[in-house]
Amino acid sequence: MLLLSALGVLLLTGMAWLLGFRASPPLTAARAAEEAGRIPGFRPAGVHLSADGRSALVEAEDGALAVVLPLGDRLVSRPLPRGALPQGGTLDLGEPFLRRVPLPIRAPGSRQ
Amino acid sequence: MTLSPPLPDPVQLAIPLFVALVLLEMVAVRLRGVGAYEWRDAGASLALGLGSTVAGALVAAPVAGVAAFAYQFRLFDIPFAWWAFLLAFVADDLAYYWFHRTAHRVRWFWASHVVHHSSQHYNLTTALRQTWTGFVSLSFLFRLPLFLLGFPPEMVVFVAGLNLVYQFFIHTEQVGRLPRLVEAVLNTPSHHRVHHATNPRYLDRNFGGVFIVWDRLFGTFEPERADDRPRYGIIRNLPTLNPLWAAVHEWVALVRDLARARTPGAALGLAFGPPGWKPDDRSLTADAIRAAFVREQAQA
Ligand SMILES: [Zn+2]
Ligand SMILES: [Zn+2]
Repeated sequence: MLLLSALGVLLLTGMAWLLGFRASPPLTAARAAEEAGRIPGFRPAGVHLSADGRSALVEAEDGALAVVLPLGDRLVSRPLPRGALPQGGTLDLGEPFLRRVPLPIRAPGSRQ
Repeated sequence: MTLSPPLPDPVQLAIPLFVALVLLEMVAVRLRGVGAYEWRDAGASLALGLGSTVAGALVAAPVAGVAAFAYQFRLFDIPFAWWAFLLAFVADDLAYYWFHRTAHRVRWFWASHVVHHSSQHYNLTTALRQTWTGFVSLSFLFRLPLFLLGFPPEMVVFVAGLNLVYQFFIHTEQVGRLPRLVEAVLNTPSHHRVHHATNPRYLDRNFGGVFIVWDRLFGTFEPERADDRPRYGIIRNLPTLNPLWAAVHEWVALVRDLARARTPGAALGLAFGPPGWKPDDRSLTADAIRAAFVREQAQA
């Protein structure tokens, strides 16, 4: 039974792949802002997209910052600690599976 | 009519149906453009489902032992009659409501239940995304009153299996609204989409398993709205599609938080307070997020 179930898992995962459920829509400013807007109390005001589309830095009306990253066909966001302005293109969030986050190099303030 | 042990396991019997319906739903998503799948997300959900059946089998003996122990002190001798199964089904669903509500309100139970909510997708595979650590969080304790009342453990296990099978069908975006009477009494795809959503309005709502009447009765019901489409997942969505991390991430976070707790009160709050509670920040609990949303709506 266990083996059969394991086969079922493989079959269905393979079918999802075959049916083409593996697209990652590009990370746009609008998607990034909407995703950051899901963070409680975060009102997006400006978005800085990285050139490679791997991350976005979203600035809130009150100056708070959040990073938005693609994950499959969805996005993941994290609010950044206040005052911890990212340096050198990566940020260490210290979270499992989210230690080093690539960030747009451009300084916040120049909105897109 | 009597239906006596050994009773079949409804979940095991339903597995072929699960597989067929997931395939059908995938095709429907492709053809209709309604709903969504991501192959790694679906694979993770399915792997978590498989793992949870293994975890369940590993702890079946101790759980059965506790059930048998409680059953010794039963108030009534409830026979294996059809009406008893009906009663058990309803009583078990009420117990499920309180288990489920607690699983969202107390972090200790949430650390186990969060697995079910950790996907940003809502499809039939999400239904199979089940916890591996229900035993650790002692969630089986919520069924003890049923044994004390006198429902035989075999009967309770059977109706609980039926409950789980029912809940599989409602994890879909392919069904909009069902007839009004059905939506009034039963938990439906629409009601359960609300339960899986992180929109502030929908947080900690619709805990029912089969019957939505418990939510209407106990003040936790929220209807789905066309102008507030559900966004699925959790407040801090997982940064990975790795099923192992989905299974344990909140326990790891809890242990980390406890290691940093400065006072016994803080430790108690972190373990048994609501998810999102921090000693120095109460703004991320479901109640606080909803309250901020309601204030904002009132101002607008
Ligand atoms: Zn839940
Ligand atoms: Zn669910």
